[in-house]
Amino acid sequence: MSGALDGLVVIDRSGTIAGQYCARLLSDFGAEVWLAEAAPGRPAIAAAPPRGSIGDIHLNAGKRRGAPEARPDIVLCAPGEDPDTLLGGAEAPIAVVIDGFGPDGPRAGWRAPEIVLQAASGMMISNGVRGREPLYGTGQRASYAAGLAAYVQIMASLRVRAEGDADTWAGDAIRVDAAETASAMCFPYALQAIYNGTDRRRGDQDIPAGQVLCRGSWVCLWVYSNRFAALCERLGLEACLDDPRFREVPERQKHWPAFFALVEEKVADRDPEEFVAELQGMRIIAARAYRISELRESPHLAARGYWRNVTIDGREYVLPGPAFRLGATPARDIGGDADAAA
Amino acid sequence: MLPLEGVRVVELTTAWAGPMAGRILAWYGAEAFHIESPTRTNTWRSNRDKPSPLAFPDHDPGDRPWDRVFTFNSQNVNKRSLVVDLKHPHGASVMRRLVDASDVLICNFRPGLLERLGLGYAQLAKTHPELIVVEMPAFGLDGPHADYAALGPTMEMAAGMSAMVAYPGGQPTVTGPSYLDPIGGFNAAAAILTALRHRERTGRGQHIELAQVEAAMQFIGPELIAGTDVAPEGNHVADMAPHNAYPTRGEDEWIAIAAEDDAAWSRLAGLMGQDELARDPRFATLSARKANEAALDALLAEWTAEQDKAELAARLQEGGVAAAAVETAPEQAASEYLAARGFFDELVHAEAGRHRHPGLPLHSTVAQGSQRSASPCYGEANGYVLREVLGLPEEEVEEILASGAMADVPAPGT
Repeated sequence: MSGALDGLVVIDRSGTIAGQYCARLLSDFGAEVWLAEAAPGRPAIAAAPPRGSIGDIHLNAGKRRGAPEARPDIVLCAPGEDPDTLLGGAEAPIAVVIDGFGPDGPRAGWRAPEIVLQAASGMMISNGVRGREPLYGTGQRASYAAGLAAYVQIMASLRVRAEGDADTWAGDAIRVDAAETASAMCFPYALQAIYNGTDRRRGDQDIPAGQVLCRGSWVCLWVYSNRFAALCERLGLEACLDDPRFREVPERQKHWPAFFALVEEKVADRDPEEFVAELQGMRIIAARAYRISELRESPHLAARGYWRNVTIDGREYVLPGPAFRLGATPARDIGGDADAAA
Repeated sequence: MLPLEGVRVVELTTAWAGPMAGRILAWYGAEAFHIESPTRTNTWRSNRDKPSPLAFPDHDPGDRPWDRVFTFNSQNVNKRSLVVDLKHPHGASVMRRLVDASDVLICNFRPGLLERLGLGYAQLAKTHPELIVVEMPAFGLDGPHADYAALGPTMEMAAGMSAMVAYPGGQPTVTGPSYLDPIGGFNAAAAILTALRHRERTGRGQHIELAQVEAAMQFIGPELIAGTDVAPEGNHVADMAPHNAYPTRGEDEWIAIAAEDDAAWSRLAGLMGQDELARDPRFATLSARKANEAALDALLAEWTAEQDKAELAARLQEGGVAAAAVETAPEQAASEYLAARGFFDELVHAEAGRHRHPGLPLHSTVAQGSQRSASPCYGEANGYVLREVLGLPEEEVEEILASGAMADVPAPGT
């Protein structure tokens, strides 16, 4: 089966997680991606993982190392490169630069490790407990999100190229900032602030959500008002229905921690998987906080054939499945001799 | 010309993830119709609980609060609103004809909904093989958890992320507070644009399954491949120290600081006016700083406590140290950086008024999208769809509008 992006040639010399993730998506869906050395020096955003590392496997399995014979359709540049230098002429590529805070503007050149991007995005102030330091989200999510955004923009650019006049095409310069992307991924409190000046902080809880510790695992549940009585009755918490702290929604919003403490007393010995299933059966939204090892053993993911067992350079790996499943043009298999990048 | 001009999108979605997907396509010029129910309002427009005044311009819900709420109005820019009862014969007929006249159908409800509505891909593709249908259930279309409902925070728990974000020994943390919703929307848009490219070359549409939890797991790919559990350590990481958020002047005000290597730590010590710290054996190397991280954090916190977070961040960055103020929503709204990126556009909403709207981080010299119109009022495109898109005769339009299949005010209590 052919890939949706068959025929596209890509050079990935980004030298960053963001750029390499973008190129991984291109590769997954059929593009021929060539991994090249990035310019020396430490990029402002998270650098690509070392060759042969697990991060390298994740980002670059399926790519080739070296240079293509054909002219590239897309070049993922390193931060600081000027993509305009690649443009001009009918065969000019789509040149992409993913940076931290961009080459100009009031924060040009700022160092941008993950915690800085999340702090500057408005997201981090929502995380954690009021009175303690805000927490940044795990991993290199701002870089991954920027890579995903760049992929989206590349697809839009390819559409313009395909529909345009080939004689007048002179390339496209795409610029994505990881910092701006992180801001765009925030809950829309910025518009709320524009609407009425609200400065929302941790602890201003009006969402009907909480966590309870079951046997060995945390469970998050959302108890919308139309399911509150059913949950109380199921757990033997009928007294809460007449408790002035919980009886009416406005008061309940002030006392969620107390309510979830009562729930936890009832379910502390419950199997978390069974408790989540019971809640979902009651149309109460709930999920277990899986650990990595639990995901690897998840019957659900196994039943869906999520994991990709691949052999690269003689070593076996279990890789996450593709980001999305296209019915007619699925992600290509990876592993084997062709995938020498790792 | 915008990249997706001429592409019509029908969006059977609610809340954030699905609307974000449609928002991205509309940003690029697609004509996007947000389908809404007369009896089960999009939860980002309203819910059964009394609305908080904090959701509205000037704290005023007005006569049509569902049109003035910031959540809905943030994610449905550039779209049209069609309110139609899909269980009503006239409503079902309108929806089917609209889908037949469209290029993309997005659904972010539980698996099986489209089939129950007679809108399953297999049914639609028989007569409309060019159609692209994306379903974006949290856990996929099959498997033991396929029927589980989810929200952004519960998806983050299920994806393995929350268990890695916590104070030492603390409970899992959801972030953003709904970070996986926009990620799901971007993944859906990426998938649709990929399918559109395939359609350009072959004329064929296709079905897309976007399991949002699985898609998000890409972001922790290395951890998943390693297969070992990660013990959360707050903001501490293995390869940098200091690496944390520190208090600054004011209530709940913070600055994030990260010394990316020994040289950056040395520069930071100099900016603190304590060059000797860089040579202090407790802090001279990364391994030493990691071993004495509590003392290091205490030193930083004492130094930052009375300083202005934004001024300090700028001074540290100028001195070659990674830092940023932990910004609040009002600070995002006033951000000179975001303004310089062209992130905000002023739009006029018929019910909410004139406001700057946060945009998308997608910049291109030849395929640039834009924000052109504010989010639609509830049901504002009902007549437009019947008359202009479907081209129905006026007597049929009048019959449908009189049938109760459409509405421009939500049913009471929904």
